[in-house]
This record gives sequence, C-alpha cells and structure tokens, in this order.
Amino acid sequence: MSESLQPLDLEMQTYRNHKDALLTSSEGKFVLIHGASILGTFATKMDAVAAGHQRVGPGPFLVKKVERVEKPVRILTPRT
Amino acid sequence: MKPLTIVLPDLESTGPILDVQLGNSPTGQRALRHHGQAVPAPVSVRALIDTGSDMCALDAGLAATLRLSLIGVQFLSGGFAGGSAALTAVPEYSAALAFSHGVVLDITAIEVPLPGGLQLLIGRDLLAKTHFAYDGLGNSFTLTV
Repeated sequence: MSESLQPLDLEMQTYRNHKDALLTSSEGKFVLIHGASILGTFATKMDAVAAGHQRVGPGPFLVKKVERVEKPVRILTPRT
Repeated sequence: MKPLTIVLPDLESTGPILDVQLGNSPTGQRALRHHGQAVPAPVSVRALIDTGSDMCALDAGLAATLRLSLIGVQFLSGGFAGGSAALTAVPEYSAALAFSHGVVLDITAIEVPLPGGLQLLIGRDLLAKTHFAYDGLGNSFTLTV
C-alpha cells in the first residue's frame, strides 16, 4: 500500500476484523470506520461521508461498501 | 435537474470535455473550519466524461492542493498508473463539483496520474445521477444534472 494510504491501515484492519459480522447485519450498505471504531452503517456512500465529516472531522476516515466480494475499479482512459 | 450543453468543434478527437470547479464538499468545508483549517478555494479543472471509468478520478496532487478528505481505498485493475496488471491500491477522496450552469454535486474520486491536460475523469458513478446525451453529428453533448 502506498504512503498516502497508510493513515487508513488501522481502519482497513478494523474492517477485516468485523467483515463477517458486517456482512450479516449490513451487506450492501456503507460502513463508517475511524481507527478501531465502527461508527455506523449507512444506505449511501455520501451519507456515510457526511457522517464522517460531522463525527470525525476532515479525516481521514474509512467509508467502505460492505460486500462479500470486493470489486476492483476499472478506468479505461489511456494511461500517462 | 438542469441541462448543460457543450459544443466542441473537435469533439471527435477531444471527447466530451468540459471545465468544472473542483473543491471540498459542504460537509468537508464545515469539518475543515471546525478544526481551524482554512478551506482552499475551488480550482477550475478540465474534465473528461469517461463512460469507461467505473468511478471519478482526480489527477495526482489535486487532493493535497485542495485538502480533500481521505475517505477510502480502492483497488484499481489493469495497471492504469503505469504498473503491472495487478491490482493497485489508490486513495479515494471526498470532493464537490460545480458545473458552469450552477449545479453542485458531491462526489468521491480516486487519485491517479491522468494523461496530459486532463485533471478529472467523470465516471459512471456520477453519470448514474445524470442524463448524458452525446450528439456526434452536432459536435455537442448535453449533461443534465
């Protein structure tokens, strides 16, 4: 993981630690995580981002879709 | 929703490009102020409507310039940033786009190096909230947001 992502290492570990429970309770929703704390789940990504700004501040914090299989992002525009 | 029509004589070669204002979302601005940090002014960026992109993407460096909130990690396929075909972890930021007809949308976008001159890809995550019509014969496109 690149240097710019290190601030979210703990949040990513928190997600992995709670993934099974989150899949049971909130599959398809967006979870908001700060540090080792799960702050809530939300119907939309933007609702989770707004809650993160309100509760955590300018960040960083993690907003992640709760899904069994994580889909990679594709961008088809030619590379630099 | 309001239509924004752009006429580009060279549409076939440039693709559907437009200039938008990129800045912090309203909630991001409040968070910066609440923590005693200045809110950078939005910047004008050249954007390409890219129906081949799953989500919006910012050119490298913009997030730091604008103090955008880091809100996630995405895994990019296809070695876009010059790496191998393996997945690359890239940061995801919260931001807002202001279009020239006055409409503002909150977005999230990954940050990757973009080809020369381009600073933003408008991907299908944003297009899902719009109506996009491409008129090749008329050298124009309309984005209704």
